[in-house]
Amino acid sequence: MPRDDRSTSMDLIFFNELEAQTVEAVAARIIPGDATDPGAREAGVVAYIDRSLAGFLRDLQTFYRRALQELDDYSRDRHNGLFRELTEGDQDRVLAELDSVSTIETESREYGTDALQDENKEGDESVSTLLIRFFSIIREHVLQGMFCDPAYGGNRDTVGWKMVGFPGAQWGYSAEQMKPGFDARQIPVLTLQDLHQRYSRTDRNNGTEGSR
Amino acid sequence: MTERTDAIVVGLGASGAIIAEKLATAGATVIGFDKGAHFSEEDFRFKHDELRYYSRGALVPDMSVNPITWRPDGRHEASILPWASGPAGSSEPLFGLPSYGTGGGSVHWGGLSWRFRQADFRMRSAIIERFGQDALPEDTTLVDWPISYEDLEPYYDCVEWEQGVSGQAGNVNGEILEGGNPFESPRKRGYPMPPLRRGAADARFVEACKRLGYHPFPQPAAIASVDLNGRSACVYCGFCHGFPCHVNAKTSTQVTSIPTALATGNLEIRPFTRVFQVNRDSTRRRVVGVSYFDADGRVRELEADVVLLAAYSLENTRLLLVSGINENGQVGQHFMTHNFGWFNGILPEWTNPFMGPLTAASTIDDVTSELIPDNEEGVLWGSPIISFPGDIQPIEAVHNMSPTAPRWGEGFKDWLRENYRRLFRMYSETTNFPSQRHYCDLDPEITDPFGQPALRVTHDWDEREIKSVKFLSKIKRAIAEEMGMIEWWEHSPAPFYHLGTHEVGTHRMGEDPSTSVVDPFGESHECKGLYVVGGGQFPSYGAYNPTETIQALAYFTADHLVKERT
Repeated sequence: MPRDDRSTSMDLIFFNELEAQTVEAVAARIIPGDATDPGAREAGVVAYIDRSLAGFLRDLQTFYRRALQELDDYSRDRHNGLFRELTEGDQDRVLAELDSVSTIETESREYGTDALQDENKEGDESVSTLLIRFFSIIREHVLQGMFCDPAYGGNRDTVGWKMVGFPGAQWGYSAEQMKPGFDARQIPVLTLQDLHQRYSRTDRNNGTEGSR
Repeated sequence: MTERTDAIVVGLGASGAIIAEKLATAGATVIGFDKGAHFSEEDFRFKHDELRYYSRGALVPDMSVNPITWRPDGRHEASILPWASGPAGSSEPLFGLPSYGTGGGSVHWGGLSWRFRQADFRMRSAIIERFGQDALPEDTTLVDWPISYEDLEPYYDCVEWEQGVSGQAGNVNGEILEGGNPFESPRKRGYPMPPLRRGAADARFVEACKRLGYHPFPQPAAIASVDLNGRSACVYCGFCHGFPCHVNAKTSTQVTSIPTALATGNLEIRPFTRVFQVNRDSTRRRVVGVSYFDADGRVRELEADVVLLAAYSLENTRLLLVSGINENGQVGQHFMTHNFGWFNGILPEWTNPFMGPLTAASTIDDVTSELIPDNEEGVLWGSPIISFPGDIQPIEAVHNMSPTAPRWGEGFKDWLRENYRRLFRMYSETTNFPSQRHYCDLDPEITDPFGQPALRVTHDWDEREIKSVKFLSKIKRAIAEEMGMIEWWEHSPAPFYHLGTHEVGTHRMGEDPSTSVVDPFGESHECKGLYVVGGGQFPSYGAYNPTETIQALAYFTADHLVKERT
């Protein structure tokens, strides 16, 4: 499988193209999907992670670069191929190996990032420790990219919110909507951009007070 | 010549802004410092962003600039809060420091606004009377408060009416009122606003509690349920705890005391500044002012007759320690924090837990504080059990999934699709007994970027708290079953966090200068004119959220300072 033809085209500002394909392959196993039932790939999670690493998460740049390399080494050793080239079944096996160790290691789940900074400083940790941390971190970032506002580059077309039935950036909810059993999928999903358009104080065209 | 003002307030949050308001209104010139921003309404108008405020903790101090270290006991090395630090750490506002900038912790908070109970002010005596002297843990430093509920009642009233709290009174001058909390300590009058509309899942909680013989009542909430003083009523957006409010419905001093204080013309706010030392005169018994870094990082001094530290229990403690104000060794002792006993579950129908604030909910007080029934586990002081039907966005929900749910893959997706809209939470807030083993001091290794030592917290969950969480969990399970929950799961009774924005006790108030840091008005025993206010004053810690009591103490201090001026 030389290349994943479902890969979404994107502008990259941190990853190289092959790294982006690997990240996307991992993301697509964490939250699988296809065109009719979107997952992390369709949500543009890799774009979210790429932008975040160029900005807010820049302290993790080296960590990601090293971990993606380690992941490929690991995949080649165990399954005779780079991670992005493996079958979905083999990709799942690799991730399950990393996850089973990380679940045992940290009862503090997503918070188990304690030694990460030391890792970057010392750089002599074993491969598996690095990859275990990588799985818990990329899993967190995939979730963020799935459920963030689309302004961050992920959750494209609000597919993450639609998946779980979250109506997004709502100004508020009515008493009717807050009754037990209410089907919140009836509520049109809103993003921050929608809110800005509806509730901005100033009309961008003439600079006067806008409508609420 | 050094610049001079009447009063300095360090930290314009839940308590500092109230004192600044009262002093400014009485004609004193006040300069207020805050490490964070001087916020405007525009800053919060489009705050519907879970990644920004929850995952990335946009409102709370960054551990790289404001480090706090933790270790479970004296045998371990401390490190910067392992559960909240590191580049991938989930800066969940609940498990770190409160928000900063104008309004302080009253910006991020959920708005649970409780009065402590009469018995909470004399916990030590009440326990000894009921269970005997031997019942108290050997290492405890528990004492009664130097003031009573009755002393503080008029100031609780100030919080509820001047700041704005909604709720249903249960006990007005001894008369028990239908619909309120029948176990409430007597109040002189009710709330200025009716309770909030409650979240969809709350009705099940209420009915289940009633069938079990408990007495549920609507939580008092520092959120406007009707339009109030130019502030909008709550619109139930569901981005509440950890988020600022976009319609000014949530009661923060940012929208109450700060505008009032600024309108007097007597308050000047200096945002993005960092007070690093309290200065004293040559006798070291009298405050003369503070040293601080201005917004450009230059060292400045300011003189004043009165200095108020209102920068949260932990930063107050650090400032006292780095200023060398700790003659009797009491600063940093008696650290207490809440163990929340988080309980999550799935209901049979959609209740849409992303709608409404977490306070749009009910509580039972049947086993709170001294109402704890006799029990074999040795639990001496109880807790309310609180319903949490709203305010749960997707990323927070994923962090609190069932341990039996798949962590990724198709099954993970299916679980969320099936269950997100049916999630419900309950929690409690266990009482701590202050202990010689739980304290704060200056970290010997780790410093902030300004070269000052970080505060080090030494704390672990002790056996009594674990038993207490387990005791309360039995009640929560009974309620869950009665509610018809399909599945439920709980945090460990010794959870991973040791900070939860509820830290108190580390600059204890008392009458005796040898065993406490400040007097009941918050004035330092060691250094006249220096007031150290907030939850750090608490001599003991019941099981309610601390903020209304912190604010009542602020009104109490302000009243004293204003009287002293005249």
